[in-house]
Amino acid sequence: MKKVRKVSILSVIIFLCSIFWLMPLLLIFINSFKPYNDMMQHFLALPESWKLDMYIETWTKFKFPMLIGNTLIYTIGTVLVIVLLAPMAAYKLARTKSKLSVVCFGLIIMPMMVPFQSYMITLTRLVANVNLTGTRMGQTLVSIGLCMPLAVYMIHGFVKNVPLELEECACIDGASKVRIYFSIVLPLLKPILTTVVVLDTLATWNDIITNQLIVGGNAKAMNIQNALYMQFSAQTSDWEHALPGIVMSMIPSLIFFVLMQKHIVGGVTAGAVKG
Amino acid sequence: MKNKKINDFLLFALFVFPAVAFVLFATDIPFVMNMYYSVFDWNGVGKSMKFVGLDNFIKIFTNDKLFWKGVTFTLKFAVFYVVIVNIISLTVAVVMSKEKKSSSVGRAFYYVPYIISLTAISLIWKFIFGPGFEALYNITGWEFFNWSWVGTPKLAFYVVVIMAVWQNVGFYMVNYIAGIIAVPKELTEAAKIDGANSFQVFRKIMVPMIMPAVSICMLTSLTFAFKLFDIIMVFTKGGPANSTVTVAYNIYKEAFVNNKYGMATAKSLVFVVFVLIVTAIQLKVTKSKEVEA
Amino acid sequence: MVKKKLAVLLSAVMVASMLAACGGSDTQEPAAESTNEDTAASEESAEAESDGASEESAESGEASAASGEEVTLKVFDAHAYGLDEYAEMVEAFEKDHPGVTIEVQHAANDSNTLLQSRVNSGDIPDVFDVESGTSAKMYYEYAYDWTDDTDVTSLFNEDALETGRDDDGRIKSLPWTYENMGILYNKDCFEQAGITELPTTMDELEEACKKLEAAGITAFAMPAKESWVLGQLATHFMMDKSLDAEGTANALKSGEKQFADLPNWNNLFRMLDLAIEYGPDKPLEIDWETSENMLANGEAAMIHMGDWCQSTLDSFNADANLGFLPCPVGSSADDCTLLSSCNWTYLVNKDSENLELAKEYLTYILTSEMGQYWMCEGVGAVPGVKTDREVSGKLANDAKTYIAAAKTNGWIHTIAPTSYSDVCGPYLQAYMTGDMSAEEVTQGFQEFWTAQ
Repeated sequence: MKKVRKVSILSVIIFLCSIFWLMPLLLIFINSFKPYNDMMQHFLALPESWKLDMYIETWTKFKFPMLIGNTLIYTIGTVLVIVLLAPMAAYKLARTKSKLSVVCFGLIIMPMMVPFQSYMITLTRLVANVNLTGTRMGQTLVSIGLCMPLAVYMIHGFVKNVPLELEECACIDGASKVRIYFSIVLPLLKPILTTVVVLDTLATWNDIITNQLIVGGNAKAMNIQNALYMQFSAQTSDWEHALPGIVMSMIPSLIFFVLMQKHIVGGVTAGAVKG
Repeated sequence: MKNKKINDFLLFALFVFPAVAFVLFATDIPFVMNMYYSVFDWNGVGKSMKFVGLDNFIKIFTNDKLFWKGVTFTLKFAVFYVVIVNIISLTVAVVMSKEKKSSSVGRAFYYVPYIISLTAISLIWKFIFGPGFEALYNITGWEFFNWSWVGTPKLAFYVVVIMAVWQNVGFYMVNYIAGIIAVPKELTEAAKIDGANSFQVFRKIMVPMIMPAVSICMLTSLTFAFKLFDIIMVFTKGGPANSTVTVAYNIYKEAFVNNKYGMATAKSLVFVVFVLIVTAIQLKVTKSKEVEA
Repeated sequence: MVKKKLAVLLSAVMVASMLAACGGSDTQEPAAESTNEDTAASEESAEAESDGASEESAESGEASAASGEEVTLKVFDAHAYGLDEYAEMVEAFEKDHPGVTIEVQHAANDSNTLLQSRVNSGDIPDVFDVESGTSAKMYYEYAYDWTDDTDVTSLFNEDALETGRDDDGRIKSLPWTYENMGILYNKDCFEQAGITELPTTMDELEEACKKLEAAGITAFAMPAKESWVLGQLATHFMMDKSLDAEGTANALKSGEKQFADLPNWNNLFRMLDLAIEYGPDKPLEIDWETSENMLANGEAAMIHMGDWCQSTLDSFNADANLGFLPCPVGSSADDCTLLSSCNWTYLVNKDSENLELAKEYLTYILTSEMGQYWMCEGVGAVPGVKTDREVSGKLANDAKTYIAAAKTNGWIHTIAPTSYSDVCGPYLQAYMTGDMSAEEVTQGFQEFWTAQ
């Protein structure tokens, strides 16, 4: 009996602490209804009114539908390609013991060690050399490339836990190996894939810097965060539009997270039953 | 026989090369192209560059106090960050991994900072350390809330640690949860029936089983710590008095503010070699643990 | 089925991007590869092509411009001021020039970084602006030379034009607006504390601080979290009135003048001491936003800033009764000045495919009625172009009286060695936290200025 209580005390503490993590959301939300001066003067207070004027203004002024459209294209494009390619690579790399395999793995995870700031100029130049500057295509390709290392690395770590017999029992020609991968291995990777999808979705959704660099001046290819960020400088801040914008841009990602995290659980149990 | 080899290779290529190509395009090739500048004196804008051989590297090792201050800060930060963030997120994950309504709500809470854009994060923390702490001081009277956290070089270090941990706990929590859930229920229940207490179950059954998740989290937290940039850029700006300059921030400033692009590239090269060594050691250590388990 | 199709499409994308990646280091090849890209992503192709075309080598670009097709002018603007007015201005220009699209990137926050990466990737904007002085000079080798376009240059004030000259005296860039900086003070606070005469010496300043404190007002809200503000503040104490900004900066760079010997230099530390003693409890946590907010709401009487913050101050409290106080630096009233300069300057890319259009656009935004409307009302500052137009900014108008009375000097920090504020600002912060002594800071300044 004693032990059970101990755990629940820990749980209570963890749940109480979670408020500290939630707080920024609340603060952003209440401040998104305040004029600039009120926000500076009474950041912690509730707003005087809950009018949606600034939300509507932000929505139209920043052409939110277009921004959301762009951001969706980038996010969906990136995540689809990652989900297709990352597990394939991770699976094969984990199962193949050869020099080539080690080299490829090294190439893929090297970016995890390199600060983005140290090569972003040459990246921009490379993108310009292949005529992708200012295009949605360029943005998506770069974003896939930047999300790939972590995705492969995480799945690679997970694949090691998938039992080998499953794959060996089947006949060995190449075509069926591909089929085995899609019909047996891939479903087993569901939980880690869900995690990867969640992480990459949010990373792409919130991206500022690659969008700034790749899209340049082409306002038609801008994503949400970049458009909002443009309103800031070292000496001016447009919080009155930025905060409603941030709230609106967060709603989809928050809903997405809540929906997906059920599948982290669901995916695992499904996989276990099959295995 | 030969056919099989070719087939195997083709299969490998089909599975692996597409992913490699993307990474080559977005990072590896730009990074290698970039290395070229490390032996030049170049302002990052002009059409002409001056070849200086290894001068940039020599300067880094002999005459760049700020860079080494950044290295020290980054290392110290990495130690604090890796330990604290992993302990907290693992604890949270253990509690939140139960399949209850309450824990799915709790998870979402912990994940919130990871979703919010950086611009907003700097705004919030400014007010937490400002009016927020002032209000707490007035209520509690604890001197600790009256310190100038952001404005004192020594305390600013902890500000950065707190912010980084706070922002990223959600990320590691998700990873740990995925690992914990993969532990077969029968195993833990059997142990409990045998009379093990929950801490023992955690130690003897959970820990070995979630080792893959641990090594993922260790490596990602380590590389995050080494590359720490965003929080510095939007919040402390390296201040007060250069006390929170990280390596990545120093490289950025060198390239885009001091306009010594060649020097910045040389620095990033030195730094990457250094990070590779550290992560190789770290990988070895966690790998051996995994086998042990 | 869907999966298969997707796989085919994706592998096509892959092949294309692999080709692209391999050819990346070779500048000559992109044309051939872009065709691959286009087939891979048909829905993107239209856009990629139109963008690609504008980035092709100059010859083909000029051809398309000459044949009167659609032209896109790429503009890079480093400000987030008067954005609404800017948009109106662009709209009016596009209306007058059918077929012309103006593509503006407002990159206020990391302007230097983004401009640098665009220049490097060969995507040089046709019209762009940078801070005049040291930063602008880096870009002058890309800049169109305006010296012979006297019909345009004659529209500007002579001293404003000066900020756009290169080392040989050629006009490589055109000035935007005058910006003035010094101490901003809240007149109501001064009145409340019974200060009738504006302080002009360090002693009088201290006196004023004491009175303000007695009246329960925070005297100084120095934005000490911002190293750039501290860097700017320090330049007041370097200024030698007999030499003005450029002469002073040159003398300091050459080592002809030593920091330790500057007559007013030690008063910088006295100023910082005042800012700590009569400032908020946590001085190094005050950023520009907080300090401007305190000033506008009458919570603090003085800050160091410039008239660029007018719009922010207005949004905090449009009725605030604010004015400029020339910065006291010593014991003589003659030495206290505002620092005033056209510190942003616009360049036209001399290799632009649409050079004539770019020149026309720049002339338009800096001199036309619409352009003046943007600068005078949107930004609220005095433009570098000769004009009789009223300026909306109160501070800018206040500064006019000091300009008329010749109580201004030029800016030093923009013509200082690169990264002056980023290197020297933290020294001053270290002085404020007690981690560096005044001597060490002076030493640090000295080494930095003479190192280059």
